[in-house]
Amino acid sequence: MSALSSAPAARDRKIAVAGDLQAVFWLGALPMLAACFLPWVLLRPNRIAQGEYLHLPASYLALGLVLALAVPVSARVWPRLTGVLASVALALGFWWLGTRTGAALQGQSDLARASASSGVWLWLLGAGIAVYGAGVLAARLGAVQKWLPWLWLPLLLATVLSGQLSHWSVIRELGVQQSRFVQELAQHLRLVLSALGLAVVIGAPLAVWASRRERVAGTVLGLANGIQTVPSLALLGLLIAPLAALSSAFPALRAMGISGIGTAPALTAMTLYALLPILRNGVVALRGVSPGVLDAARGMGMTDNQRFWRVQLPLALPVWLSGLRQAAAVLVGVASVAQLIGAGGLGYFIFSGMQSGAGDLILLGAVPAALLAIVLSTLLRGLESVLARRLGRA
Amino acid sequence: MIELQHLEKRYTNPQTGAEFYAVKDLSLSFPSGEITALLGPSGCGKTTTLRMINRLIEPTGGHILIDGQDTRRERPEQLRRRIGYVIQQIGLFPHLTVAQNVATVPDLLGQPKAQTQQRVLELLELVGLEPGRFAQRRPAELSGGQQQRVGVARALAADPPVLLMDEPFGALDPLARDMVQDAFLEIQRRLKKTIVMVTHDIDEALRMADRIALMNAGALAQFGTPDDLVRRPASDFVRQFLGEDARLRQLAGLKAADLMQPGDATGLPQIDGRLNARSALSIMLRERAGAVAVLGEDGQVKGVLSWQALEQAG
Repeated sequence: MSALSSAPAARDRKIAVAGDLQAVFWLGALPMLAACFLPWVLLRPNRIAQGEYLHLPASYLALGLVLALAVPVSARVWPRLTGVLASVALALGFWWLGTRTGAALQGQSDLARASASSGVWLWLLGAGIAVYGAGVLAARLGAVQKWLPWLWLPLLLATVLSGQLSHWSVIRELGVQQSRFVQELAQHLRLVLSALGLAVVIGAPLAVWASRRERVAGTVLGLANGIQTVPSLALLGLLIAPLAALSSAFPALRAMGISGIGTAPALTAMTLYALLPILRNGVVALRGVSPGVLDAARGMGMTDNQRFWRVQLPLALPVWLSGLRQAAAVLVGVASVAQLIGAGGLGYFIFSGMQSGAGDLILLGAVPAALLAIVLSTLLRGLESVLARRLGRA
Repeated sequence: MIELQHLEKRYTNPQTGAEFYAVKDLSLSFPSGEITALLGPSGCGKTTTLRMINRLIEPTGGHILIDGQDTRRERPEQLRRRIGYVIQQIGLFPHLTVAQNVATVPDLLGQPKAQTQQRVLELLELVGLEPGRFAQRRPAELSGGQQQRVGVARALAADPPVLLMDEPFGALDPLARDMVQDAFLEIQRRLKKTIVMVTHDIDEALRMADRIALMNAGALAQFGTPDDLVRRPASDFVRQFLGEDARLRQLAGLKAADLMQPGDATGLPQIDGRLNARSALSIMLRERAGAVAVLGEDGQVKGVLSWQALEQAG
């Protein structure tokens, strides 16, 4: 009986130790160990004043050290537990951020701010690496508990929903500027989705046309590549003059809200940026469809239209969509800069934070922007794999 | 019957204005219900000829008649839906199931779904793929031989009288090729389609074709039965192309059991009836025998294969 039950455990251990994963877990453990000795909270009497650094109390420190070491050790002796430990470590980083900022703010005025300091960031980095490693490990084990490395997600959600983080300076800023945040987030999304839509409407027919003509493809791709090399700031600046001229020459355009600054130049620039990945992937995808398949389609009596809609497009779609995903990621970034010409978006927080030296405000803009990019990218990747499976490519 | 009358395909180099004939003044009739192989070295115009029949390439001169009707009197798409088409890369649609692939042409023709569905099952059965197991699979889940069977089923879906095949078995490994070729000949024995098959593989042409049109440099070198070409080559080119061992190649396509005759088998070396005639000949040479006894699958002597029988075979 004991021989039977120990056999799979031994196999697990072999898989875990055999790989390169040990190095990954130690790579995660080192920053976590260091984080225990670094300051966790920067307490300032107000948003921009000098502050003092606060370390973890001894009991936290001891628990942190144990947990940091437990992850790589468990990977060696009990790999199935690693996902749980790594998840707990990650969620605990946030939880402690909440409790330590809360403790720091006791007895302080409303203006006081408790920010995350180097210890928090290093801990989260280390725990993040550990969670990644645990995910790979679970996949290798083929364990039933494959979802265990995702345990951090509900734990983190619980931490956030319990209001535990409400003392953290970034959340404080969010509380102060809540309506502004919602407004800028919506504007950010609006910019990204409109530019993406425009780029598809312009880029898709262009890609189809270019995929059929060698010389057109060269010109179009060269042009789109050229646009991509112009820095986003410069492109935004370059568009101010022509759009301003257009708007003063045609009052109708001005009435539509088109001018040298604001949404119009931002959307124009973003559309141009999104064009390249959509064009390039479109041309590559459409051309990548096997000539044998297209010849068969023609030989069976499909008209050119039938051949395009029934065969070429469905086969090209997964690769084409990955271009759309790249475009979405690029656009979330470019939209952050659009604030500079008055188009709004999450860049508002980033730039006002930079101007006033308030790191919390920068985070309030940057972190949601990064999350937005990840969410959009994940959604599109999901769509891609669903399509790929339905189209028989998986 | 498919008739090619003075068929010509001329290409003009846009820079130099030089003219090049891929096919020149080709007149030829493909008899109904037979397999005709278009054979020849690469660049001889055989594929161009095939693709002109369903107008994937438009001729620059001459006419093509199918059952007396000029192919140019119809829209190319309509024409192609009446002509089955099988190509070397198989060209199955990877995003569709086997059943959907086979249903392509009936769908294009707007035939009723229920009828098509029934037809698909019959066809899969016909090409030796169990419908229950294969109908809902994707092409990528099939072996090369199975894919080519689906390709044949798809070409036959709308029951076209004519089938064009461009190196249909070229991409298969030898074992799978033999099996699919056998299966295909069996189907043809039942269906009696008019088949034009492009190949550069002499063995395949000798084995499969009722007639061979051997082409060279855009023109017909010889048209006749495999036996005609092997025994009565019209020119040095034909002889050289088929090779000095053409007779042996021809024998390799025949089974010993099909050539045996009744006779006295006592004292003769014994061979398995499933061996091909060339192997039988090789055994006769090795054993210095004028004949061999042919055994059936049960191990009993079924007949005698003699030197004379081999000589007349074909």
